[in-house]
Amino acid sequence: MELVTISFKLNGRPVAVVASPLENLRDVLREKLQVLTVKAGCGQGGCGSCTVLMNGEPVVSCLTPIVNAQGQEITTLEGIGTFNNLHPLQQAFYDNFAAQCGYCSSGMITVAKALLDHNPHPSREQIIDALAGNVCRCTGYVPIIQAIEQVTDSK
Amino acid sequence: MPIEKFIMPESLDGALDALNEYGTDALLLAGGTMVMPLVNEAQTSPRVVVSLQRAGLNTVRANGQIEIGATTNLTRVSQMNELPLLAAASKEIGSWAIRNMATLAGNLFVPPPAGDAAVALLALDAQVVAQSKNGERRIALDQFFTGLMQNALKPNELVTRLVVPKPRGKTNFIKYARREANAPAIVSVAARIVTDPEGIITEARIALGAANDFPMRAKNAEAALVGSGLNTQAIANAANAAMNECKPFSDALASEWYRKKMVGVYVKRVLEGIK
Repeated sequence: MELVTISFKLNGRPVAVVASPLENLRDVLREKLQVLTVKAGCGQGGCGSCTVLMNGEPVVSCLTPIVNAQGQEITTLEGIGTFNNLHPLQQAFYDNFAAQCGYCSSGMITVAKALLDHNPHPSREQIIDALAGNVCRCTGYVPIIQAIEQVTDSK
Repeated sequence: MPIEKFIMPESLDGALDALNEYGTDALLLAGGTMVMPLVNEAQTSPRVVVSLQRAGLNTVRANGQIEIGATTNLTRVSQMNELPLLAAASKEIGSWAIRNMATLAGNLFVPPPAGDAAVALLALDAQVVAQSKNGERRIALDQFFTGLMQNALKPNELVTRLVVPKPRGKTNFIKYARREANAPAIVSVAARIVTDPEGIITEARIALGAANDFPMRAKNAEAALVGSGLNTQAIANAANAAMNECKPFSDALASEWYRKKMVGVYVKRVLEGIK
């Protein structure tokens, strides 16, 4: 296949990459753009650790051909909060010990951000429903849900 | 052999041209939730991949009947209040992220036990609109599945939309799976019944997922309901009939034996909860 140039906005900044059209967005972000908060988990769309937002909506980047990103706005964790400017969700994850190994955390926070953008006051059931595609091996999910509830309660 | 060519037509005509030119050499890519895992693992190497992402097949129109574009994503479908049965089934598929990508027509081509949206579409008497350079034809979804991963499409035909008649009657859908999300069905059941003013069933549809090589109508179960009220005996008869007419398979999720039993259990539960 011929390589193509794909231009898109990454966390508000315009970027361009040269890639094979069916190279997946996760690998492009990690390997060509050094966005390592996007994790490589299952490669099948089932674990959610590669979740990014495309135009504000969660997608699994491991199953997104890079051509689909052309002209779109991609948001990763770096676009949600930074070390010096934590998003309330990130602060809440810290406060509630919602991360142990941290591998699921980017995906969890990214989906939670999209949820709150759609619905600032979700019920616990709606939170659980939204996060159903993100698996965690460490925490048993309870502190993650509590962290998100902390943010919705204080909004 | 690596993939030679990637094409992303910007119109339906472009997509039909590509199909005409490459025929069975072309693998269609819609949402990517089925094809990309294979591409990522180099488990598929078609000569040509044709993406339908920009072919403009994702509009929804309602004028009496409801026409849903083939590449309408499942999140959109799960929000269609005009088709609660289909919305409910679509909501059970994958996860939020997967539903943002996966397409309604794509759900017709997934290997069993997947295909929950197709199960709901069967109970709604949906039709598949298949187009080629030669024109357009409609295939009743009931006639669309012809075998394991086989369908009634001709080689250069593309599914462009699903047509659902204005729904009548009461409906219910249950998917029984091992987890709440990202879980293929052990069995899924969609039911729709129409009753006359005395409560006698005049029309019944019972569709089963993961109970055969493709989504199927349980026609003997339907016949067991028509002419009767929705009472305990009729429900038991329908559940039994469904158990006898389904042909499930064993896989890592469930055995054939268990699936058959669960068809009986869940046909009963779906009918008991229909509204």
